[in-house]
Amino acid sequence: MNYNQLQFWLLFLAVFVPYWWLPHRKQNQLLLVASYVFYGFWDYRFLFLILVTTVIDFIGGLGVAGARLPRAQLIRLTGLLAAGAFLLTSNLDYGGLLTGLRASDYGTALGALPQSLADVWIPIAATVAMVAYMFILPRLHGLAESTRRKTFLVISMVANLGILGFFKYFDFFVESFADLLEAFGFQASRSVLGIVLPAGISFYTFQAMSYTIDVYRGKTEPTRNFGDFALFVCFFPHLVAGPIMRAHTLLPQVVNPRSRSATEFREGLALVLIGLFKKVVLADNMAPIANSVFNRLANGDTADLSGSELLVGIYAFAFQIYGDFSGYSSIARGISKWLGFDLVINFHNPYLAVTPSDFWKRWHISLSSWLRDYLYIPLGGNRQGRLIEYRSLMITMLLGGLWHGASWTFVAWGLYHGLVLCAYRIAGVRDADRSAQPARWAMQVFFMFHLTCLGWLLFRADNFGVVTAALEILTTQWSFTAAAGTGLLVIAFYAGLLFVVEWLTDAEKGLHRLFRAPWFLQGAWYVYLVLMIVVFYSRQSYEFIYFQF
Amino acid sequence: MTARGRTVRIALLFIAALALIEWGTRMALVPGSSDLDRYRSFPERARGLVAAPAPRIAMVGNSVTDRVLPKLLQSEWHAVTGESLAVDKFVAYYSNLATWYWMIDQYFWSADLEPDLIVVTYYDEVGLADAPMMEVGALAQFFTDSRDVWPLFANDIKSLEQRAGYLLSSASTAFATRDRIRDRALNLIPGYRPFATATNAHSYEYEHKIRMRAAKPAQTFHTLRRLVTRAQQQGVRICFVAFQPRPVTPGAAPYAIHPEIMTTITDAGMLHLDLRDMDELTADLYQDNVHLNARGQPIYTRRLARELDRISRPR
Repeated sequence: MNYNQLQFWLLFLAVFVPYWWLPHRKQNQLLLVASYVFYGFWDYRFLFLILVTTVIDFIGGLGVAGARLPRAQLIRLTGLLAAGAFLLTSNLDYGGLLTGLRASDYGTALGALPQSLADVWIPIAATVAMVAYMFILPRLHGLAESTRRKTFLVISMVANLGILGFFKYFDFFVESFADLLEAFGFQASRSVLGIVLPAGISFYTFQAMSYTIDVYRGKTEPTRNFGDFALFVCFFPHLVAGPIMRAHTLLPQVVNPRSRSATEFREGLALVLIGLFKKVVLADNMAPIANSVFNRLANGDTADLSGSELLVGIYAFAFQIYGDFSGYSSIARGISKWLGFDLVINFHNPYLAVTPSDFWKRWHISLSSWLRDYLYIPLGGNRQGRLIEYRSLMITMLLGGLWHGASWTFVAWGLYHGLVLCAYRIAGVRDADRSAQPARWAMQVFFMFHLTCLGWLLFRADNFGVVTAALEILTTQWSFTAAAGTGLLVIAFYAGLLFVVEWLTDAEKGLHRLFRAPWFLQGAWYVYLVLMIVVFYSRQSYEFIYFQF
Repeated sequence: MTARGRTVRIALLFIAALALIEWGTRMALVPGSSDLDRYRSFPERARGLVAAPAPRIAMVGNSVTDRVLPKLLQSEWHAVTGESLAVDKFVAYYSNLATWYWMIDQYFWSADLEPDLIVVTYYDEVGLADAPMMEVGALAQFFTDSRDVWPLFANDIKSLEQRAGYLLSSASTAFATRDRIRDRALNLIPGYRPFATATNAHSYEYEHKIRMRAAKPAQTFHTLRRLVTRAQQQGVRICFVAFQPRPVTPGAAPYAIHPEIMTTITDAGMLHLDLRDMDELTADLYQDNVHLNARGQPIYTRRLARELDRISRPR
């Protein structure tokens, strides 16, 4: 279920219509159910993972703060986890069960239940682990304060990173290790599990982890309400592709009553329209151009592919990924505003960045700031000398690359951005002032955009062979063809006006400048967005790229 | 100005813009579009065809059917049989069997018009299988009316998006013809058409690879069954022609025809013409993977005339 599908909007309508009639606690319950339904549409079995993450961090946060849960609540949580595991992961044939029960055919109903131990090992393991944890908890609470706090934090980190590592990286590391062994002449068994990646696991895991860390750092008070915490973890507008919200920003919005206002509704509408435009018009129309070029590179069909055409393909991917991801974030923020929530701004005109540091303050801001606060600064940041700073940057960007996907090309993408950041810092390049030095500013934007595009080449390529082939074409087969000219015009057609508006409103984050524009300009902008969405929607719909992360 | 006043003005501007576009589409785009103009001529042409002396053949299909040359078909038929033939094409681009069902229903059966033969052409192994409806806009504006909504939703348009698209297309010509507005606007970009053709070809290959990795759903033939059952009730014969796409690999086996297609067609007393392997249609006679070029069209038309005569008249 995607934002670009009617199905989603019907679900949203079913939530929105009764939402503002309900009292605060009922609103939260409705949102929690809607969030689980939304996620269940992807693959209901993975709801169990969200449940596990939620329970671990809920108990972890309280444990770090030294708050004990009553035994009755612990038993309820254990029951919830066990029941969740049984219902979601034990190969229950729901259709058969319903048919059997309706027809009072108990043979059929029994046949629909799990038939072997292999079907129920997850519920059994989850129950055993949770019961064991329940028995250990009093001992953990009996530890000295600093040991207790660290222990709960470590349990939370190990569990979260363990789940993320297993589902996202297990096969990748097995394959890579086998490659390494074979490179040294050893025989290696490639026992990959073919694990399906749960949608949005990187996003909600990072969000849940930040809660426990923030409680540990004393930046956030833990919540005692499991329902509120569960909603904080799985709030559906941003569940599968962010923005990654911090507990101190989102949790109070869950816990406290929310209010509605015409301004918020209007801002929400503007964000949803811009988001839909970016996704179904910009990203989805750029996708065939990028796919055609990268498909030719992957197939080695490059004899008549000029450097300029390849560059157009890379530009197209740059706008595709920007439209796709920032479009999702924009819609997420928009519908959250309709529900009385304020999610953080995740993108701020990233292709108008002048330096790499500026770029990362504009691109996927919630992840950049997460990595800065929980990785870069703890690693030493920029206050312990140049060498520590560069080392911290490289490690942060490398792990940031790996966060995006289990592939060496993502690692290389992260390393590349780390190197670019270090190079700019070593060279001491300062951000040009747009109004004082317009020519220098334009040059810096142009150069930074192309550095970013070079990074997208690594990001989009299936393997390093594609990257080297592309670099070879860019350097040896350069000629400006008519097809490249047309490609540029097509990109300008879809992205041009959006970028003019972004340029005009760049001085302030958010939509304030747009709302201050004369009413006819604002109206014309909305007419443009709606017409483009209706008329120039792509005939081929593409899934949001960041769902895979 | 108050925030409320500002919102009202923006809303009025928005409504005025939509009304202007709807008016412009109806006044300028529809009369100026050869496709849309052709669709509007179908009722009259269907009456004209059936009013002609037998034999009368209606060719219903998409751009592949549009490559048949009616005048040449008539003259070849005359040359073979000594009889005159009435033939006309009812072509909707980007359409498939589900659309053709409604076109035949709208222009012939609902109007109590019965040609002697309806020719339907397909060109790959999924050609007569159930598939998502294409071009919902044209379907809503031209090939169906309000009476058809429920059977259409029950049988052919099952996704929420398409149902919403159909209802909006029924109400707004601009919405229904938005693909044409899009194409016209994009064609203003110099070199767009060849660029898009090349891009789509490479991109299609990429998409195709992804689709091949996904599990293929089992083929079903509900629309085909409905079509032949309705034809039986109307007493009209349909001839399904399996057309040969561009022969990419010399000597390669033609695409498979699902056994259920043949059973459905023959059980209902309909005709099937197998032209999957025409030696005379070589790769150079195609402009792309399925469409014949100007040299290929007469070759195919002549063969079709002879085959239709052979298969459709009792000897």
